[in-house]
Amino acid sequence: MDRKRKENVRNSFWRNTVQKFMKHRVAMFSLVFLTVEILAVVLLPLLMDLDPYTTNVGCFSMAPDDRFLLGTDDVGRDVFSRLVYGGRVSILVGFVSALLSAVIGIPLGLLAGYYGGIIRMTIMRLVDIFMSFPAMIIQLVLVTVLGASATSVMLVIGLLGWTGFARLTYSKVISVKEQEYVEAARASGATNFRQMFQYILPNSLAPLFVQFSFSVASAILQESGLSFLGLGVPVPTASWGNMIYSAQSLSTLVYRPWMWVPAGMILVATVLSINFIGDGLRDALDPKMKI
Amino acid sequence: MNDSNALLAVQNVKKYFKGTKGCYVKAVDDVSFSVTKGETLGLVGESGCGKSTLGRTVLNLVNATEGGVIYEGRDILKLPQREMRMLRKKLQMVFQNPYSSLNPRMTVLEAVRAPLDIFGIGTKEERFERSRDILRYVGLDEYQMYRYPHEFSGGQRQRIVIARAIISEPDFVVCDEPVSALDVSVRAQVLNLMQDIQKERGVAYLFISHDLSVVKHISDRIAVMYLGKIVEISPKEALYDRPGHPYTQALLSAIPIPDTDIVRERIILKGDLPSPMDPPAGCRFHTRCRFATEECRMKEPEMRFDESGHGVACHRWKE
Repeated sequence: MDRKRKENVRNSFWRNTVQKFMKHRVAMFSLVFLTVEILAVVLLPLLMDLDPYTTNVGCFSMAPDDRFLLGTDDVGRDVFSRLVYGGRVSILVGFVSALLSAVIGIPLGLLAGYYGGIIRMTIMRLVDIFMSFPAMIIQLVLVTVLGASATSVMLVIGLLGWTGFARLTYSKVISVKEQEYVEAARASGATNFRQMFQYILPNSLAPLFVQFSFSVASAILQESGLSFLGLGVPVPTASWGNMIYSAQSLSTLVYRPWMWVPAGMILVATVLSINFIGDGLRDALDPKMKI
Repeated sequence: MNDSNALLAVQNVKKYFKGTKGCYVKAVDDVSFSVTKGETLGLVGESGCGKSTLGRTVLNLVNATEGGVIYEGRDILKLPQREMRMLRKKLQMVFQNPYSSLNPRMTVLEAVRAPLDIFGIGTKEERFERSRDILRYVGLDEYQMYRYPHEFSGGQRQRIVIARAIISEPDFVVCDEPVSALDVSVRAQVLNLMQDIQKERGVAYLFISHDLSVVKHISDRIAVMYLGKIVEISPKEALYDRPGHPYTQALLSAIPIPDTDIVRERIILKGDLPSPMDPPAGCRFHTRCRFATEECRMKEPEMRFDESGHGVACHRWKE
């Protein structure tokens, strides 16, 4: 009986959120698109005979035809297969790096905002220091030191991206903690920990969802950037970034668009749809927002 | 008034806020009173006189500059944070604005259950049942428990806030203008609920308000505050029949009487409330007092009590 009631509580919150999200058409469309895309990159290799690594001798830089759906690249690898496998890497890098940033940044911002004083000084100055680095240069150096691999790319992007989360959480927390319901929680005897995680954090989450979506999108872009410079996910492993890398050659850019246009387009579409989902979530999670 | 059956004794509490250039805002300046078990002490005064600050200081929600609050033989203002936290089970608060004192991300059930969760009272089932019972008691149906605060009216919300304040069975609740944000039509409802709770559970209230008729309705004793000080404290009847302090007299003369035949002298206070950053020397009220003398300008009056427990801080009382 009690369990059933508890489920009711959870259900009503999520039902509300889901209902509102579904009314947000662009976000809903983006979610469908992203889901299909993720399913495709996960399942297609299991269903189809895709081979992103084999160089097909004699089939270098071939335009799309029956055998190679999107043609082959300059060493004769199937572009479609590489697009699918590259999607796995790019999307994974995006989410893992953003998650890492959030896991570091949100608690630090929460602590800084809640406690103030020396704790705030320390954390926020650390944020300032991190933000004053030219991120790309540090990433290049770190990747060089760690050795180029998907893991080190995730680490490097994630470890440098937490400042955004920390600042945003901090600024939200200092306004939320002055709310009367936080004082009411304190008057009821709530511990600092409970005040932070049950009262302040849930009321600060909405902008963080948007930040998270931006962060995923930006991590995907950063990965492409690093790969484009040859310091991201190393070949032969495919990623959308290192597929676009091939466009560095002028003749590819102009005469062989099948090698990089699909990767670029899917990259843009993915980043856009993640951002739209973030927008939709922000609105749906606000209990006062009526759509 | 140092009666031994006091539930809570506030002794010489001061709260100064740091202002600019080394100035201090003396929001609460040397206030003493006590509250006995199960009584309602009304605290009235105009905006900015330090009523709310006093309420928060008594509960140690803001750090007092000086003074003590004795509860169960201990000065709660000097307790370590952990012990103070445990005491909050017995000392609760109802806030002024029911629109902002409930967490918008918690259902009503979760909000009301929070004190039980915090202090780990009872099993899960017991907590649920107690929350449901108390919500029913304040007039909410079971199906409304899973809703969020924004789905309720102001009166309903304030009843939820009251339910949250009394669920841990406190001895003492500070009510900071609990009905000023409510419509007149639901005021009486909420006030009656609070009185019923007091009758059944024996909880004592410190009832802060600027509305004299509300305070008259609910209080046993009334304290009048002016510029951070209590100027008069007395049982309700004595205060309304024989107000001792000129400030109280002026306040009472401002209550409208619903009878056109009674003509009464209105005492109009002149001037504004002086700044609490730089309160007048001597009696703080002398700048606006009809009876002020040289003595009032020089010397601060002590609170004097008569045999009925009626205390007035005025040099010229009973003249």
